[in-house]
Amino acid sequence: MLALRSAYIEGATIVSPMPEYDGVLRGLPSNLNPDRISIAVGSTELDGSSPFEFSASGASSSTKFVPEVDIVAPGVDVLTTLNTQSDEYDEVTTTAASSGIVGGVASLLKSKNNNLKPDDIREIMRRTADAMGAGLYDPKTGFGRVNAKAAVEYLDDNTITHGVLENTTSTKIQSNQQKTLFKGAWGDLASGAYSVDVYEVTGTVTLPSTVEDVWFHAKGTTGWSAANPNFQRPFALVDIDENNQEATFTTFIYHVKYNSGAQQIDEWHPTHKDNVEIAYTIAGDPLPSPPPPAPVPQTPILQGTVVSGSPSLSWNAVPWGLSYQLNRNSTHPQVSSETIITTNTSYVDPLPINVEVSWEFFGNISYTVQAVNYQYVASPSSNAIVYNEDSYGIGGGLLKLEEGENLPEKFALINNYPNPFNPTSTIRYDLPERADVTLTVYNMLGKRVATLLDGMIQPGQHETLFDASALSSGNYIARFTAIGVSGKTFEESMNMQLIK
Amino acid sequence: MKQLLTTILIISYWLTPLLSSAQTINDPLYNQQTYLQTVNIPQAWSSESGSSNVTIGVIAPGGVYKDHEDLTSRVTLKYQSAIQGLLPHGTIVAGIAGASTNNSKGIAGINWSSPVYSYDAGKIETFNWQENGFPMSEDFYVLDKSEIANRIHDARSDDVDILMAPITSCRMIKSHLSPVRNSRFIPHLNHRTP
Repeated sequence: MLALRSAYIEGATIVSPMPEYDGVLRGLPSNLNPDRISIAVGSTELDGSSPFEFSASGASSSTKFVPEVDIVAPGVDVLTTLNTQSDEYDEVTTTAASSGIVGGVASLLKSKNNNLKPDDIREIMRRTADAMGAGLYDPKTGFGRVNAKAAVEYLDDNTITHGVLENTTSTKIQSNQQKTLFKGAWGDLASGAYSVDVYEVTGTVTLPSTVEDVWFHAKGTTGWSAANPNFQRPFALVDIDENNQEATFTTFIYHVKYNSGAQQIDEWHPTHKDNVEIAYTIAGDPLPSPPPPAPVPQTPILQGTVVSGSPSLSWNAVPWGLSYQLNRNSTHPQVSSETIITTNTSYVDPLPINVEVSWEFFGNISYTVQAVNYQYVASPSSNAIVYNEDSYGIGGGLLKLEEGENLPEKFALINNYPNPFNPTSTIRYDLPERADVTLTVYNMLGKRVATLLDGMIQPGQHETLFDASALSSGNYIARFTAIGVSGKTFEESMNMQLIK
Repeated sequence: MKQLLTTILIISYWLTPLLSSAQTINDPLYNQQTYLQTVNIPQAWSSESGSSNVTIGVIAPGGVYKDHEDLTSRVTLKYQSAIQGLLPHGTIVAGIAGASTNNSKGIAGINWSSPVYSYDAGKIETFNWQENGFPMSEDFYVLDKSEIANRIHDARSDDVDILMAPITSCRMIKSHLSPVRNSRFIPHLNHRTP
């Protein structure tokens, strides 16, 4: 009956009635229920007050797959549709009717939370059932009479989260024990007697502060019961500490050493003791609903001045701007690029540039500002304010402030225009930082015919004119080199054609 | 007159929340479905009455009797070999869980919106043999573990979420249940003693 197990593993909740009592327990699929694959349903009288006399009970047996009832619902004189005529209704007395009620409730739970797994639906119905026996579990009525209202409200009151425990420790608790293992729908070991070592495997999960319940899933759990026989069904014990802070899971691994014929087997079942996984569900108080997304703040407008030699930035407050992110982008070797977070709308940047020698190496220090809302969503960057060499005078202190422009992101040499040309052509190039630039023109014999640039140039987009009035027609090569103040170098050449 | 108006207002003040929280069900047999009250279904409806994103499956001999007036708009026959509703069990559970609610007919289903897929648990096989030189042929309804396993596999392929399998009272047999193509077997289910 592998398909039944397969359906369970893939996520279907199977609801089936207990076999009806007629002296012989028979039927499918709830008679496989020692494997706990389907939810086995028993019957009560119509008013739910007592179990129906003939509903089968879950008497235990070590030799037969006798079902254990999970839950009960009315199964006597239940009014429903019949298969006789299209408008035929009648009261029926059958455990099938009880399973229809439980299946209907299961479908409501799945409708309310589509992430529920089969074990979740079973456990929620168990935990919210109205007990009919003396103890938690009664062989005749299982965990009690299904209570649709309580089951649905359980999902109102609790958030369901899933996890898999992988960090476990193992301890051998039995050596060379004789165990009779039955093969049910689960497991890969043939039924029979074996000599085994049993390992107890435990692990803990930290719980949220509002935990209500914790249970394991058969699907995703590799570990068996310590019971004998155990039908090879995945199994784990769950123990929540008294402070509700952590759950301890315990399961058991079998090292199967010999079969009853004394043949060596040496297999781990259902997995090696170091590879145990336990899948679980945590039910707890609902997490607070997330706030609606806040609007992206408007982009502030940045202004800069000089105060006591330091850059002084200010910007306007914008709606939804809970804080502001001032971005300092520096190519100066003594100043790092940084992000400054503030709730104010102004900032004086105490730059560590106060020695004259540093002017020699001065690069660009530019600022942009972004407004950030309470969900940490930032506005687009503002205009840039750039402080460069020209901003300083001899002896320190900022003397001049320039409105920044959008600096190029990288070095580039852009093809001259026009090309072919006569007699002049414009060569454009990009500098992302202040750089030592040379631009030299060679003829096809490799002889230098012109030097257009040679020296330090400010960052930005630039162009220079190549006047070839004195040269003859032919191809020329322009060679461009740039060494930025940050140490970055850039070289590129291009062909230019002079036609007179 | 003013006092009467005040009284009416007071009455309506108290009645309004009662009326709005109570479910208005127009299915004529709803009041006889006392089992719904027993397991608190009407109270659950105020929070959840079913989603069209969830699929209910029924695996039963002959599947569900889809032509029933209270099921036809909800049930899809996904696999059918014998006559639909060969045995009553599939129709019984389909009606309880998924009969059309508020359609002014019959009963109310527990779930109002989820589609119900029907799967015939077994299948008809025709066996041919020779008897005294004459060709013989007869239909058998085959209902065994492998057939049920096939239907469960089909249901999973159809993304069925809740699968009801009311087949426990059927013998797991490969036996003569003729004629199964055009008549239904109706056991006596309305007696208290099986």
